[in-house]
Amino acid sequence: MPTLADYLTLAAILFCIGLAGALTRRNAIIVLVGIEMMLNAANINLVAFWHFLPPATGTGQIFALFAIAIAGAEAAVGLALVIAVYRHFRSVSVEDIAGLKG
Amino acid sequence: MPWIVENLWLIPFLPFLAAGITALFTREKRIPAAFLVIGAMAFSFLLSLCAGAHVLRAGHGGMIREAFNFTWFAYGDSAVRLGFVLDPLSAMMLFVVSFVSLLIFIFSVGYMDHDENFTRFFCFLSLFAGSMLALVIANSLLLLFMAWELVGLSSYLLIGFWFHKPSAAAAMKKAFITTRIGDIGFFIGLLWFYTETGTSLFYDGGQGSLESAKLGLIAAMGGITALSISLLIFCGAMGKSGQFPLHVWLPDAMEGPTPVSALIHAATMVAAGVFLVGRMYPLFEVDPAALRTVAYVGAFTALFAATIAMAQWDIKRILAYSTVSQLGYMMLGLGVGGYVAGLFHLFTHAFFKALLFLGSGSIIHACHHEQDIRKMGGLKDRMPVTFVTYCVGALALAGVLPFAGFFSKDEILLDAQHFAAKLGGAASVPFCFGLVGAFLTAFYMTRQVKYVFFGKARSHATEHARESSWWMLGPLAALGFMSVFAGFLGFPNEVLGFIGLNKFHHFLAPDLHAHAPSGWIMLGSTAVVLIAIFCGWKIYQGAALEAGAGDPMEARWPEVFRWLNNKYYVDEFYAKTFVWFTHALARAIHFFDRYILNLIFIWGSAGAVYVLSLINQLIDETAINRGFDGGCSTLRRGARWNRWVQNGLSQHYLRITSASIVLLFILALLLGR
Amino acid sequence: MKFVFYILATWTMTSGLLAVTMRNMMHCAAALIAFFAGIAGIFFSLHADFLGAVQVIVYVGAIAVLILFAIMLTRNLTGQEGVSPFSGGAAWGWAASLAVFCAMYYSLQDHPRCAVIPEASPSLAVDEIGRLLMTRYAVPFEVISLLLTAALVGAVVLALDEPKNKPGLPK
Repeated sequence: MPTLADYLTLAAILFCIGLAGALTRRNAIIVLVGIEMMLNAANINLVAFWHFLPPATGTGQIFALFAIAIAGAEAAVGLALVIAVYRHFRSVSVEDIAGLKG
Repeated sequence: MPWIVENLWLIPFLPFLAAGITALFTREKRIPAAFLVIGAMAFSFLLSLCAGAHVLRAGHGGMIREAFNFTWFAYGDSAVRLGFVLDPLSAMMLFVVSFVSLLIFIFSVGYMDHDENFTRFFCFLSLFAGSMLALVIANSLLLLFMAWELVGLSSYLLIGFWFHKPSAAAAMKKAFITTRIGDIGFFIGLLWFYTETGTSLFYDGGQGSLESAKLGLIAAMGGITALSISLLIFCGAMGKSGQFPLHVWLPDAMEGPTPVSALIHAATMVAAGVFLVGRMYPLFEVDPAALRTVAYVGAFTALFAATIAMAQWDIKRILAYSTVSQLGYMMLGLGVGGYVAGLFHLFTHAFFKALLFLGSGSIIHACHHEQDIRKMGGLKDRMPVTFVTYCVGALALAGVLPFAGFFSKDEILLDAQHFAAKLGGAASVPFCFGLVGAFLTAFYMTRQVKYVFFGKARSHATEHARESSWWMLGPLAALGFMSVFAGFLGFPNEVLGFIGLNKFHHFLAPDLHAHAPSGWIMLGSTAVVLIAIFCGWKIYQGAALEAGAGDPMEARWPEVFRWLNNKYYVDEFYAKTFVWFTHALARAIHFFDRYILNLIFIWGSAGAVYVLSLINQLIDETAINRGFDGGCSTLRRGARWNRWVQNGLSQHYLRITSASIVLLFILALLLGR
Repeated sequence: MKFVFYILATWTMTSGLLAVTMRNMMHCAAALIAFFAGIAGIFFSLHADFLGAVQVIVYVGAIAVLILFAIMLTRNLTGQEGVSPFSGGAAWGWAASLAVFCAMYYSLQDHPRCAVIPEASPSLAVDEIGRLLMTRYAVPFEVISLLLTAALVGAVVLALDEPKNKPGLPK
């Protein structure tokens, strides 16, 4: 049987893969993909806690469900933003969007 | 608990809701706005009828008073509680307010049909009526005060509805500030009352502040506690109901559209003060001196305002001063111990004053917003329906026998006469003032009717006046009906042997003993009124009604007329005293600020700074300058690093965030172990 | 059980890494779909059946499609030739994420509760979830529905065409 630690470690690895994607890729869509992966990793944590730590009242699952809903909203708005940005700058590269330069 | 008591909150809530929805409408949505607001009011009216029916059915053989209380929020051991109460008083007020408001709303559809801010007007109207309905059913000091202030706010908004006119903007401010002066007293009184009784509820199954247990506490305290609280609360009533010396805002409130004037003067705003005294009546009864003050203030206002009304030219201003005078009557009635009489007058007055205002609105609308009665005339034939209903209203206000005003005024005079007989001496003042006031009322109403409807048209606009639309005439007819017949509800006891009912008295206060009617007072007041009407009729005819002719009274007593026409110079007096004082104070403070503070502090500190800067310069030149270049290069290096951080790339920021989180984690580990 | 877990772990890690490293965007999207499916498998292995189903429907069915659309709308499948798909300073990003992983992994070590294995696997039936959503979590449920509506409207507004000749927009 895998233990709670196994699941948490897997979640941590996936989270960091997502983080790496968000931190390194040039394309804004892949940055969003990385963020989605991080949210998914967090959901694994929630469900794993629900599974391993009594009492199992369902809070973990419900919370994960809400997180999925939020992720859906985030993806919709984020991708709409990407499209708006693309139309404006004719580019989806995060390096071209540096209007806040100090 | 009956359904209607639990759901009493719906009555004010529906107009509030309608106001809220209408506020979201655009200007073009005129018809939906009118429908929504009038529909909500109609539902409120139906619910008010239900409430009235409930009180009538349950209250046969005794008084019914049912309260629905709830806790708004609790802190520690104490809680703020709110509630609604259904008793004969609130049922009566609910009926009057919702009925009159409904008719005025319908009238407004016709009156405001050319105004581009039609929807805004209906939004405010609905808010106004809703606040008044909330005020009427409030069973808690706090709720009462909130509704009270909402009434003040919405009247402010409505009086200044045409705020682009400077006079309207000034009137709205005047109304707000003047009533606020009274409200300060009211608020202090409320707080005091709350402190002494420890509860904010009026009726709470024996524990309320207006029930005998708590009132006994206040009475037992002795001293002037009860008197002070009552008078402080009466301050609020004086402000809202326009009693002398806080009456000055009421005539200026005529700057608002005429339906607003009708609403303010008949059903909502000014009735609030009288209602407040009625609601707090048990408290006022604790110390007789409080009621006596109410009586004298009311008597003085009744006479004072009636004399001013004799010499006004503006059709609405005459009615405004008449309202002040009639409110004085109500206060007089309440003060001399005629609880039922005062409120009965409020009841009947609401109908005929609304009728008169709406009638004047119809006239003004027809005459293209001409308000000077000298420029009207001869409208009798051109506006027959308005003429007839207006005459009904005027007769009711004057107190001619079968009309509503007669019964209520007669009851007030009756109570005043008993008051005088019981106390003697100065206590006969209210009665005498009331009788003279009745004379003057009949006289100035005759004068107004003659000027407006008889003779020849004295201006171009009047010549082409046409009868108003049925949106406006319908409410007039309904109110005319009530002005004729509402009085019969208060038909005195044992007159003519067979109609010994006085339904109204029985409804409102079955436990209270009603005085036996006195034929002499009835005959006397009728005689006084008829003489006044006769005098008015004789004086204002023929040459007096020609274009350009002055008032015959002015020709005879020019000095007196000038004083009355200028409202005893009260406004000027206030301008010379309070306003001048405020200005002087402001000027003094300005002077202090400009010259004393500026000279001493600003220039003084400027000098000190100058000396300091001289010293600074010395240090600068010698010590700092050399170190400065070194500092600059350090700054430049720091800035270069900062520029690397702030490079505008979101990913870069994210990376720094992640690294910082790890650093924080390490820091927490190091510190935590 | 351990075996299944390792397969799923390898699957998700591989597909996740591919999704964030591959050059062609379409390939990235395909790897992402595999990643989402792997996560659903992990949910199933944790007896969270309903959540696994939701994961498939929402992520594989909706969000992945959304991302595909975004990729196609922006018409930039492989980036410019000869330019790295990674942004400048990507090494810093890798280092930062590695550091974050180290921090997380370190805090997982030797925690007493991590080794606990429950006697009986809990399960949560769909009707139970429905009841919870309608009772204890009714308010968050309503709030989330409001949020989704707002996000929907916001996304539409954002993605709408900009009006032509709008003044003051830098090109």
